[in-house]
Amino acid sequence: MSLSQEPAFSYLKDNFVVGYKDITGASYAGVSGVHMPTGNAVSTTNGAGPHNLQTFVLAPDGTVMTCLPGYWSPQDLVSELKLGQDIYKVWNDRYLSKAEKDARFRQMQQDHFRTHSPQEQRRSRMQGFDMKYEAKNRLQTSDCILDSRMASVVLQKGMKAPPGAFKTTDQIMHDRMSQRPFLNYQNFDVVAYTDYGRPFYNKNEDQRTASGEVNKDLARAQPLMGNVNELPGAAKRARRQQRQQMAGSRMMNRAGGYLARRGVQTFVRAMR
Amino acid sequence: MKRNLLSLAALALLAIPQANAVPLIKGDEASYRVRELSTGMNWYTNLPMALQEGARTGKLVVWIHMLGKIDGAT
Repeated sequence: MSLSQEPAFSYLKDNFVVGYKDITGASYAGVSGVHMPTGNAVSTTNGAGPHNLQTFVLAPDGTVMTCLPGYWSPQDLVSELKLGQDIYKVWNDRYLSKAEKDARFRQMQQDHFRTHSPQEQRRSRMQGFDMKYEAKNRLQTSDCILDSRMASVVLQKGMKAPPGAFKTTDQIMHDRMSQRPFLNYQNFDVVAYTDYGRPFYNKNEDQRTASGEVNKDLARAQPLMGNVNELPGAAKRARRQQRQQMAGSRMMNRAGGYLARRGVQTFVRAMR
Repeated sequence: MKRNLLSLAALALLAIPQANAVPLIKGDEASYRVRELSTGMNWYTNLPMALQEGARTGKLVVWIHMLGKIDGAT
């Protein structure tokens, strides 16, 4: 949704060629609830849903200037697009050696992160469920964790991570990009680059009440897209959906039988 | 008087947003934005062609990986 909002929409339209690829079924793709274009939408934090969405800024020769994992707010997205344009100037500088270009690339990524305002860093806090996933699965090895002792707090029920336990997603992005100077898109390791947090990400946009709260029953019943079969509990979820469908169909048959006995044939046909 | 105070307290409680409530963009507005986005720009689905256009116009290419389609279900 951030792409259609200003200042991102105009900046994209005026300065870039745009394209997209549906990654449903790709090995690195995550899982999300199906969200129709006529459905509701919500904003989220920068870097949320890294497995489901990646935004590359590419030079015309296919070299990656930068890549944003997950959602990014419109104003922060424009700032990162401008960084991509600045890095392209370095890539095009024929007076610099490849080693010098790589060094500038790393420096520019780190410098850009240092210019992020406290507000942007707040917009870039990692989602709580992603923190839990990192702490549970790679407490000692995750490059998203700054202090493993503090990070482990999220594993206790009802507890939140203290400040300084986890990197913000903008730091994760710039740190990881710093390690990937001027890679060609074909050689860019999307799997490793986007690997933080759990693969399932869903904001339940169409399963919310008017005040914005999630209706948990509707959320459980919604269809999913992406690498659904790879999701833990996929079989259980499929069985539950099948049971719900069968229960619905039994109810229709019972209601249909009742009405048929009373000669309400038209209504019965319409129901079926 | 006591009843009025209780009513006011109940209304105040109702007005407090729930912890998991987030600002919602309604379907009509979201649908309009999706239409603007998908028709307001020429979206390539073929990367070599997008890069070729980038080389022709001197522009960088924003290439998005997403679950679904820019004008469809996501």
